[in-house]
Amino acid sequence: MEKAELARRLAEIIGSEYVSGDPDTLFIYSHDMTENEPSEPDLVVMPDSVEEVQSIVRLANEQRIPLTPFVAGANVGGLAIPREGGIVVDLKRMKRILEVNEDNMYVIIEPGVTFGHLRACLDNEHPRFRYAYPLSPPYTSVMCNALLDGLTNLSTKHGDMSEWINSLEVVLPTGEVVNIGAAAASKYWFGRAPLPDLAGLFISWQGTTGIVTKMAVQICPKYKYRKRMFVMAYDIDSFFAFVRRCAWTQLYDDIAGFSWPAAKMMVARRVKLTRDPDEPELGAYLDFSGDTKKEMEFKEAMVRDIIKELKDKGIELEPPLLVDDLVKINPDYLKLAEFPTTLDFLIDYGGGGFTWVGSYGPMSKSEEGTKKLFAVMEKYGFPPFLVTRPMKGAHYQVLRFIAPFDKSDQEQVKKVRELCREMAESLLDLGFIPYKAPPWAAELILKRADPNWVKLLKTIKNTLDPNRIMNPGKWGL
Amino acid sequence: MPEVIVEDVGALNLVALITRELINKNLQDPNKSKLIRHLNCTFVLKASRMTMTVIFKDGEVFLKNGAAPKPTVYIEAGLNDFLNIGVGGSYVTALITGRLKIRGIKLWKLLPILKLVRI
Ligand SMILES: Cc1cc2nc3c(=O)[nH]c(=O)nc-3n(C[C@H](O)[C@H](O)[C@H](O)COP(=O)(O)OP(=O)(O)OC[C@H]3O[C@@H](n4cnc5c(N)ncnc54)[C@H](O)[C@@H]3O)c2cc1C
Repeated sequence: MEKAELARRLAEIIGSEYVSGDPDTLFIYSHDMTENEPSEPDLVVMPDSVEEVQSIVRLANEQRIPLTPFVAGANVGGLAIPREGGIVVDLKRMKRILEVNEDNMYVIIEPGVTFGHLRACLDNEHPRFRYAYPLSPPYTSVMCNALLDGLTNLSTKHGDMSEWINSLEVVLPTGEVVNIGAAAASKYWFGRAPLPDLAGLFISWQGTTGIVTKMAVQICPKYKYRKRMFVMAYDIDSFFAFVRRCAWTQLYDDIAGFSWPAAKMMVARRVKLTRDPDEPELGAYLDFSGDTKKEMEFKEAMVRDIIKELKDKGIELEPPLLVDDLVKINPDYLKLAEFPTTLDFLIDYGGGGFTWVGSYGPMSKSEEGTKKLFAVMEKYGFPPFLVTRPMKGAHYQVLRFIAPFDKSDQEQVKKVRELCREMAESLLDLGFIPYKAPPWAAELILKRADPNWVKLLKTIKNTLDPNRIMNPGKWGL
Repeated sequence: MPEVIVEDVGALNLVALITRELINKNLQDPNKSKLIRHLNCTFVLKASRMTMTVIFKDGEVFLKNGAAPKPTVYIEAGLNDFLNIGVGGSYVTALITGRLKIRGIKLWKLLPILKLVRI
């Protein structure tokens, strides 16, 4: 179908003001902040309802036109870049919080609901509840984060965000709408058990199996008291000994870790950094809450006891630094402690490039992975910037290595591509698996994966999307 | 407003960065920034393992990592105690309990220095 004719048909569905083929607009959707290759869509549409999404999908399926779902495009992996052109379906207008069910502790949201929206809604209208928030900017989508197995400030306790999904409404690539999870058989979207769990057909598939139009995610009680602190460690082994010990108590909401460039980059506003050898190498960030002062005192005392216990074993850690104190000196410190957050010092870096290799893997390999990957980053001339976190009561660990870079410098882009590839290979060697895998990383994973798993993946894709219209090129599909 | 002068911000250790922020914050206050006009001295801080030197000279303030030899005032504390004092905690209590150690040849310079590194 001719582009003009396609635009006309789409305009009939959603109105011409929500269809664009304007070159400036297409340019915006052709790239993201990462080193992943840009690719322009033919058209961008902004539907406002599930019916509109259905009609767009039906038209695209009939004409075999690629569709790429999109909200903020801030996935840091090129996942919303329309690799084979076609139509970008920008879901920002679908930003309704349809239900906040306090009694059953879930919210039903549309794709365009951002962390900023959800937090404002809960804080202002449902102050007894909270959601879990990532280090992502507030303008990013709650739904996308859950669909991508994202990680947040409650993941140490509760696992990655796909585990918070109760139910879905999805427009399949052939245009039918299907309810998944409890929503399939109950008017309450309370969970996924006890039905066969079909949510897995859409989680981590990067929009290649359908467009999710509604999602119920869990919310949790917000407690009366909250405290946040940093505990500094002088080396990688001491850091993980502390983190592991704290995580095993299963007392803390969040135990994240940042390597030395994080705070320094933020305060110094520089990317070229050197470490003073007397300086801590990593800092653990602890966030905990409770309903009584006694509970809080116990949790804080436990941190101090752990520090002492480890000291007796020859592991040196600094006593806690309170976030409230740091914030008095520079409110910017909250950027590492109050989420969602805008890490402007990272994403507004000169040249605008920002990328990472993030991975989930065995906690037992955290020290080895960190040492190995720090060496790789240093080899390529990047400061060893790590964000790490034990997940789901310390059952697995996140290792995410971050590299801001200058996108206008082709040499740096080339270097960052090589760096990311080497980091992903090293992580895979250790048993970690890159998350939100960009196409090049997906290729590495698929090469090593069980061939029957790959075959099953393709069979499912072909069954759900026989005309290969949904976000083609992702996951090698 | 005067500002702390640093050769390479990206090389400063964490304590030096925090001190720079504390002093810069104070220098925005005209009453406190007056203090540096006639303050000529070298101040070394060791917070846990990290050391840094602040040089007050003819109305300018220079800051760097490491300990200058023979400082006018030398202060030693744990990182957390340094932070606590920096945000208004009692340095007298810290001194009495031994969490803060001070040495120097012209200790009367301590007061203006403390005014500049505390908020
Ligand atoms: C500085 C920074 C820090 C970050 N920190 C974190 C962090 O701590 N934890 C974390 O998990 N993430 C983090 N992120 C990544 C990211 O921002 C989040 O995961 C975010 O929620 C993704 O939302 P988005 O709107 O950008 O999604 P998009 O990039 O628009 O989309 C992501 C993927 O989902 C697909 N998709 C979009 N809508 C739908 C739909 N309705 N149905 C099916 N598929 C769909 C897209 O095609 C794409 O493949 C960070 C990002 C930045 C820039």
